[in-house]
Amino acid sequence: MDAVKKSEELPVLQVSGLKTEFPTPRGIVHAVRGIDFTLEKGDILAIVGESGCGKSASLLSIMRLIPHPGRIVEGSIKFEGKELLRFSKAEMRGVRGKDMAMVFQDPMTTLNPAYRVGEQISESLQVHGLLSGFPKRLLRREREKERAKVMELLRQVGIPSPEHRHLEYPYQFSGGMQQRILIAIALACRPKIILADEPTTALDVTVQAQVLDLMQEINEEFGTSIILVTHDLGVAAEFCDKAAVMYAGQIVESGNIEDVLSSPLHPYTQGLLRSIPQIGQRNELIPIEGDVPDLTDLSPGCSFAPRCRDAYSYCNNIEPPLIVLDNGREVRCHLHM
Amino acid sequence: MSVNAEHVDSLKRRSLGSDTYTLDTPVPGISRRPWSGFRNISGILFKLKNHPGAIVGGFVILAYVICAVFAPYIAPHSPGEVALAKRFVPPVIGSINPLGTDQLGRDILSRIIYGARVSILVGVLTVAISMVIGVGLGLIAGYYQGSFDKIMSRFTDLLLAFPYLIFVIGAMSVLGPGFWNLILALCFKGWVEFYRLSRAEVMSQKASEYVEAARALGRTDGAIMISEILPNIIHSILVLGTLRMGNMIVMESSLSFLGLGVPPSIPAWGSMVSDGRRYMLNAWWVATLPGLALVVLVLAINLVGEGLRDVLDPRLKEN
Repeated sequence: MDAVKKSEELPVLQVSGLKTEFPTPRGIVHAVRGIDFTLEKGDILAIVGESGCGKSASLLSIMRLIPHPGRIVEGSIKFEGKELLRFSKAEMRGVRGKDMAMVFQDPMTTLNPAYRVGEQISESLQVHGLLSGFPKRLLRREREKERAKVMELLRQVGIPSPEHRHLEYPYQFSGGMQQRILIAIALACRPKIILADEPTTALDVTVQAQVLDLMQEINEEFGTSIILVTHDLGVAAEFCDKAAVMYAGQIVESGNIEDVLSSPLHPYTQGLLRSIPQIGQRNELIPIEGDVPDLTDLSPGCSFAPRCRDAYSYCNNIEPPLIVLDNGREVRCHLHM
Repeated sequence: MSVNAEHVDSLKRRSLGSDTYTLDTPVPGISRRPWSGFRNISGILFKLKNHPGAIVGGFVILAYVICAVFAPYIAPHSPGEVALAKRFVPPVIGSINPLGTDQLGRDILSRIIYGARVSILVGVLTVAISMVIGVGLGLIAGYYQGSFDKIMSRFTDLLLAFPYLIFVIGAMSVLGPGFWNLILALCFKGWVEFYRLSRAEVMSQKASEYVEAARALGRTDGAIMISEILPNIIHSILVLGTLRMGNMIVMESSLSFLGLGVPPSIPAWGSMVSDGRRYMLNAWWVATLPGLALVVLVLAINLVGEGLRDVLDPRLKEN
């Protein structure tokens, strides 16, 4: 009982000072430049930002799946107090899929086209020893057990008539149904955290809402923490408790989602909100001028300064510190010193 | 949103954490089919029905295989039975030597039937061994890339720079004639094409997200290569294997023709053609009939290979 209490007190995931780099012929790409955040049990955190700002790289870093030759340079990733960066490869494999599961962007390519979906769902249970593996799973008793588990998972993610559909191949499912299958795979081992990398980008709007509802229900039902990477502020607003806005590999602003969206502090967040059309208002959209900075060649100062409307002259030279405000808000900007 | 309401319901009814499976409550309409295995074979056979050439080829191959396996029961004479009194008997259907006899009076039909053993065995064994070596190395090289891939690929380029037949002749003259030396010599270069094909296929599959998803699931590299990627590339490997089998058989016959193949005591089509060549003007059947047997078998194998390619290759499916 004591152990249970203890693990509940610790945050599920604590990331601090995480830096990830990719060496390229043009120079080192600083994809993630020292991000910090804490994910409590049952939290839904949105990581928002435009393309190329390091959202996906952050998720992959947390799973330690950064493809070679990219590497995590420094920082710490603590899962329930255990330092993941010190885990061996084998220990890390034990965490992936079991404690932390991923939902990817494009369900069509994420499912293996050569296997029935039922097999793919039971696969992660076999990998982590929750179902018997190859020779033993041919036993009738094990097959029944496997089928029951798969059926239960398919029902949980709202696949109609799972008793037929678990025998079908991925191409026989629609995009939304495929994403549900992926969520079922992610759910199979009942992970503590689900890392969702733009899970709804490939889906149309109504299906998007269904998939998000499903993830919200899973969060409420099982207390699974979710990190949702998205570039859609609407999705983040509707679905998440907390938000972290990323720009050029840094979290520039974070806090409760309502606070961040209703009173954005960082000029980048303000700019993002100004560039979203709102129904019933005829205000002209104001885009953020300029482009994302080159991550191989960053200025010593604030990386947003060249595009910032409110920049002071020193913004280009002096890196803004992370300013902690009340109510758990943090912002990285000279304007709030 | 009815689907949604349904699954909210089901979420409430069932809890994921409970490990109590009620095994005695049957799920209605559940299929008893096993989940994995040779599930595609029947589908492939069904699609092949639109390829009459492949079906005919399949039956021809089947006939050859039966002849090879049951040669002692099917052949009317022993292949080595010399009868100098009956030299160069011309083929007459229905006689005791339906396809005639050669310069030593040996029955040509029996020798062709026995010769199928060498050809088919060489074809199957070399392709199987080459496939295992080539695909194994190709999986590793395509998956990890890096320096292993670079070294292997330059090595295969080197091997490919030699013409196949010249290479095998060289290898055989070093190794000396013999059945296993022949297999060794053919495999020594035969794996290269399987390596290159599977390496390229793995590299294109590796970019797919399902490979990354499998890693995110905690699978090992070996498991990803064998049980995630291999099933997706096995089709093209099988097609290549079938087409290579015809090549290997021709190669074996070429070597036997040159006297570098199996020992002369074992009947082989290539050496039969070579022996009969000298009597071509007087007794055409001695060289022609074994050659014909070879042509028909290789043609049949190629027809099946092409049929398989049409059925298995999704890129050709549309036309």
